[in-house]
Amino acid sequence: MILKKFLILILLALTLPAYILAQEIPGNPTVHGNFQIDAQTYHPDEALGITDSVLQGKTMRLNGYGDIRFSMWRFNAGLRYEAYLPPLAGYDPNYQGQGIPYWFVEYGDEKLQITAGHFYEQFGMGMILRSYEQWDLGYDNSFNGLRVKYSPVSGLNFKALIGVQRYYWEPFADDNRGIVRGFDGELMLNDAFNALKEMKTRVILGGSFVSKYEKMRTKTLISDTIKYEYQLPANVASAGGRVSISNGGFNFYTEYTHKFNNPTAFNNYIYKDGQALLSSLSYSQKGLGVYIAAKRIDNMSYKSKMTELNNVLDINFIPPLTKQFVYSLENVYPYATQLNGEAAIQGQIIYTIPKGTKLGGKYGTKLELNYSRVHGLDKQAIADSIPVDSTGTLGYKAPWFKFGDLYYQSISASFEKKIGKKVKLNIEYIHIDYNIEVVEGHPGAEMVHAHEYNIEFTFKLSSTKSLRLEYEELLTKQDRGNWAMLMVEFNVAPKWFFSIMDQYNYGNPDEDMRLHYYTAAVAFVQGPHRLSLAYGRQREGLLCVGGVCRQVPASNGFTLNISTSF
Amino acid sequence: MMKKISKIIALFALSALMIPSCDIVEEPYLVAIAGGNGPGPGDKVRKVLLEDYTGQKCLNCPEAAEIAHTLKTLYGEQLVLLTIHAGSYSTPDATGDFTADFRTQEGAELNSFFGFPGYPMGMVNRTEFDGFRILLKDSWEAAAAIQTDLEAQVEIIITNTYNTGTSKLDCLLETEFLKDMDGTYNICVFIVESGIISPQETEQGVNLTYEHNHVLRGSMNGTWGDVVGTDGQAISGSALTNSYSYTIPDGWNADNCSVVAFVYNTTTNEVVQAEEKDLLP
Repeated sequence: MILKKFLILILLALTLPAYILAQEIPGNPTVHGNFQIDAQTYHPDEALGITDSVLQGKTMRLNGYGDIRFSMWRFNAGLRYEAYLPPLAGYDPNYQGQGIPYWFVEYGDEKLQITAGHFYEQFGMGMILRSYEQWDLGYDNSFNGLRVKYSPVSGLNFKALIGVQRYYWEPFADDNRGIVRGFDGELMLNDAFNALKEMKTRVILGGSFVSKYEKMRTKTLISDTIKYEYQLPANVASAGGRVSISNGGFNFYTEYTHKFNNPTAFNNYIYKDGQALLSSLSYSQKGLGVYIAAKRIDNMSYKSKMTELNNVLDINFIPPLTKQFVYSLENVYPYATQLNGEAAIQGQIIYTIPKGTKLGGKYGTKLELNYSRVHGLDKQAIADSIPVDSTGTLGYKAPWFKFGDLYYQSISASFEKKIGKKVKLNIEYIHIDYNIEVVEGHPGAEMVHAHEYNIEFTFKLSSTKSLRLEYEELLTKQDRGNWAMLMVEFNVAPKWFFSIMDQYNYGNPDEDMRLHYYTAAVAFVQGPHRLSLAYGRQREGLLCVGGVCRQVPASNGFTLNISTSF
Repeated sequence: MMKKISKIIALFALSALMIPSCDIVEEPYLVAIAGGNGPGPGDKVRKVLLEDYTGQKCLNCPEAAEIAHTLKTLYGEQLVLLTIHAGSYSTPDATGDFTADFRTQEGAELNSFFGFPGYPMGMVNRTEFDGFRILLKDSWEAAAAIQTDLEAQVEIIITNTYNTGTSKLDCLLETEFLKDMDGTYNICVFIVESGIISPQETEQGVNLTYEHNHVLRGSMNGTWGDVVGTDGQAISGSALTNSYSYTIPDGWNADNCSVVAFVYNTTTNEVVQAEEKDLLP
């Protein structure tokens, strides 16, 4: 605490004069920052089931932050203030409060760099270790500790770290979470060896080792009148390797991670090792991009607290192989990564039909096709007498090339074309199969089969004014039934932006829930400053970024967003 | 070139320093531990009663329920949970969200007898921990750790026969004292229900779909129970029987109900053994 106050004083002392005298002080001092305030008012809305007693007087909520970075010579420092007063509905209520959850000091040159305090880090694709912050999700698993980056020779980089992860606002205590230690080495062969410098094929090899230490609690089980104690590992390790090979437009990447026995609340305390394999092959050239990827993960939740089930304290991150859709109704059924086991494939082609051809027309036409499919694993009992996932056992066997239930499938096609000088057209179609029982945890719920399409026109009215129209429709016989959406957006560049939108759940099987979710918004932009105000209803649903999701409740009220940066 | 390769290998070898940071657990993952006469089939285990005194209008109470739930995941069957709605936060309103009434006569008497000063608070085996019998939620884990480590002194076997047509429950309790003990002992036989979806005040506002678990619904033999067997004497090896019948009222979901029984010393009020059995298999 004292250290934190001391650091704030130092930063203030350093940044103010440095900012004023930036041109005169050697070492090129710079200060950057950005601020954001997201506030929302909440009003009763009988149709949505929101009453005064639900709101409990919390009719205004706010999430906000201020992030400042200072650098001078070989020194960097930064801090972030955050406030959740109280957190916006749908964010983890444990974040309620305000303070400085993130600060760091860093010193280094080309060879060696040392960070003390909080930091974000990623090894490879993150399947073994990744800490990051995602404001929209209310997700932050930063490390607080020490990190060293070392490059002894050209083409060779090492990273080593030790730290504890952010757990809402709770200070670290001996038994409230574990300590994470990690080591990563990366060798860029072409840079490291002169003989390979001129080679067209570029090869990068990497290896990582991560370990978590946590003070173990006693955990017991009574079975057939016998009391058993779990033999719990205080140190849980994982190791991984990766290869990247590129040549011209081709790029091949593969990464494998093996996690050793890690019985936790998330996997029902089974002792099976975890495994994750992700491979991708991509090709790109002007006007064409092709990407195919496959992934198999098995028992890969890796948290720095054994009993934790919430979206916190994740040491690693499993990249999704599902497309992150942009339009509103496309995101009614987003996919959340199933860390206890899934196998997925994805294929994507982006092609721009060249200008001047018959199909390309005067301005070219952009086409995009995407296919994603995710299955569960085919979990089989380890012995006749032991059911799958039995606690205190190896859990199950899962053959590599056998798959279980379908969790998710999407096929999407989009078409983007400029029609003349003033009109742009974008059409997209998606078919989604969504195992709502698994992804959203609704026992017994029927698999959702949905068609979604959207049509978007952008009209350029003058050099500064444009009008955007968007119509979307989601058709399904399951869950909440059909939806339609219409949006009109008027843009006066570069300062003003107005929009009105209505999402209508006209096919809801419950007639009382056939509701309109309307929003009107205005935004004003001046240089780096942005201010927007909206009023409307928010539909209930999942919000996912990168396969990590949070539940957003229905709400009704004004939203104010203010942001700036320098 | 060779020098460079050896340097690279040496640096990668540094990572070997971290290899001790991995504990590989070999089978058996579960080790039977002493409970009575040493580990082995048929050994008796001390099962501990955690009573959580709560109310639907108590905004800090869900946090206590979460702690109780975490302890249940750690101790499994060895911890028996009993959620008792009592005190001012449990009083229902005539209208609004809190019209459900989870109060019971037994809960009110216990609340008054032990003198709960606030909520959420609880008792672990109704036994003192650090000089207090009524414990704040943050003390429950430490108190449970002590109680679960004690030797079993009593075994209770519950046999439920439930007629889904008439909603009649017949409950047979067989109690065996594993050693001679001073004093007299009573057995209480309560009915609890889980999975009740009903509004609960929380720090974040009212949760209309809150799941209330292990809720005390009623007693088959009053607040203080009956003597075990015929006289409540604890004589080693004696196998004593009590039996009760009860009709489950409309509105309770028998699928989610269970019988919680516990034996306590009538002088000290300390619970020496608890047990739980679902109404339906």
